[in-house]
Amino acid sequence: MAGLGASRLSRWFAAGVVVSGIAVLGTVTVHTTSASTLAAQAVQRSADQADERLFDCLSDRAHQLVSPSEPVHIRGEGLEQVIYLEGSIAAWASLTPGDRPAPVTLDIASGSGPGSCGGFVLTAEHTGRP
Amino acid sequence: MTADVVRTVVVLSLAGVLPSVALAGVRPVALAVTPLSGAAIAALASTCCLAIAGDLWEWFVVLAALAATAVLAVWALRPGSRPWTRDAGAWSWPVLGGMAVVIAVVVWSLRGLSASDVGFDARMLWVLRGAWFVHGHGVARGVLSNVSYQFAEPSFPPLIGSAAGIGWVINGMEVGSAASFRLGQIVVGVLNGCALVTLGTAMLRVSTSATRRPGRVPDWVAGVAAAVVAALLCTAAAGSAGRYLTNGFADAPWVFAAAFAVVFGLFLPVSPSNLGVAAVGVAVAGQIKLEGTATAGAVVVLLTLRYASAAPSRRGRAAAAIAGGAGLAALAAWPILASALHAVPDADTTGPRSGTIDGRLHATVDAFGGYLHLVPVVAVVAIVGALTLRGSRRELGLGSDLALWLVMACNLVVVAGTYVFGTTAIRVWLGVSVYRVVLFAVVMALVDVAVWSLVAVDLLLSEGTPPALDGGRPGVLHQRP
Repeated sequence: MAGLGASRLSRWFAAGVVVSGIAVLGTVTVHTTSASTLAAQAVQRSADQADERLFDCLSDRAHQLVSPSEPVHIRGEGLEQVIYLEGSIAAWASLTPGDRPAPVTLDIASGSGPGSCGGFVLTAEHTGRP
Repeated sequence: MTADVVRTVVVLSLAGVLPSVALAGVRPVALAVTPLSGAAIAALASTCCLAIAGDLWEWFVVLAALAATAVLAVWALRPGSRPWTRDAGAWSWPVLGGMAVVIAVVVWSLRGLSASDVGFDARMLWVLRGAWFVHGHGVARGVLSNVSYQFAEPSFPPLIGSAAGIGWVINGMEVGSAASFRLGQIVVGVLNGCALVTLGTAMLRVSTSATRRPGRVPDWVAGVAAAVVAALLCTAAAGSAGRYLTNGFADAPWVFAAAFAVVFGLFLPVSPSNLGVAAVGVAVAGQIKLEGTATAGAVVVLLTLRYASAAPSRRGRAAAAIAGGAGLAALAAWPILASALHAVPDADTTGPRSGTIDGRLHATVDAFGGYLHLVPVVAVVAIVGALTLRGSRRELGLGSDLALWLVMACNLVVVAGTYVFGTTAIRVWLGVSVYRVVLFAVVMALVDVAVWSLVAVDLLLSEGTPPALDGGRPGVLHQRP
């Protein structure tokens, strides 16, 4: 009888664990796939896609101004602009610290018009020194 | 782009297929770990490129050829090591059906890959670094110690960029182009998918016809239950990663790889095949992010202890210790190399510290607490399971879930310590990253509750008297996976 009691008690506990487990997994699944969660992610995705377009535009514009083998300095009005430019060209350009010589300085500044990218304008200053 | 992705995955898989079969066995799970093995080889190729000479592609071909040769040589010299001699019966209808369900939910979870969505960090850090290794040793060495690249954290491990870089080379893509980053985004998503499928497949192995006690219901009922739990786990884990599952970030791939390493290596019965899958998980998790390296190290230590204690002889225990030491040395290779080559230090942990240690600690604990509500709930379930289902768990040949909690604790200590003793303004730093860095703890909690659920299902479906609540008779370690 004690064995049957232990067996029934074990199965009740087991059932409780199963129900709890399914509830935890199900709750997380429902929450992470809810309309509100997906909507918030969509907003963040749009912001990231805007960044993506900015990066690609800056890279394309920089390709017209400098060649991959040219050591280049980066200069900008603010840290954020400098980081965006560095991220745009770091895969193919030869970034050089400011304390070392470079024949080209890429400058990013606020601006609009033809050739601008998301409110920024790129210009290149060639010093002629290697 | 689809053709580019297919070519990339095929090439990574060709490099990884023989090592995967040798490690994981001739089992369905080998299909999922094969691209991951190829990505691990690509990461090793980048390490060699940085350390010695050459470029990513040259080293990838050499290392893939060496790995294949080594596997074939071992099989030729030791016929008993051939995996098809030990994994007979692994291709059962319940496993294949369950795996099909897991694959379906994972593919659905990855639907975000249909849109171009290269996340900020993917662009600035993770996918970007592949370009340096594609360009070769000279460029990689120059970047590593160049302060102009500090934003890209050159000292971080190379797997994500390396896998993407292989795709750029074989598809003739211009490095740094929009298409190259898009390919990188998708490759990371595929690696996430493979790791999730492996994790889901692990759930299908918790209770098998070889380890299950005779039941009152047909075996397929247990198979369906396992498939349901596996599908729920994969969906919950993928959902917990949110956008970071498909935007090229590095958090999800190392987390899922470490998670399946824990299940295969520390939970499922002791066997060469389960250890092999865990080894792939450790190799992947340890070469993506530094917190992954630390977590993978903890897994290796626990793996060594488990397999050494299960070894029948002193020679076996020594072999386990040597293998564990070699694993730790392999994990440490990249961080040691980066340090030896004077890599630009991590911007978040150098320079003057913002705020006090005490203030940073409080902010960190508050932030973590906001995302770890699940952990205490699962802890209660785990305690109930440990008190009432311990005997059933042991009869299935499963390892203790204490190992999971130890790995989780190690991970939380590492990431919390990085925040507390780091230098970046703590609230800004936490705001942009805490959701991702607690992902491992969240996934581990989901895994633990899933495994306990399957242990409980096994007891409910079995007939006869279950083990006593105090644990009953000692279980038997099963040698067959």
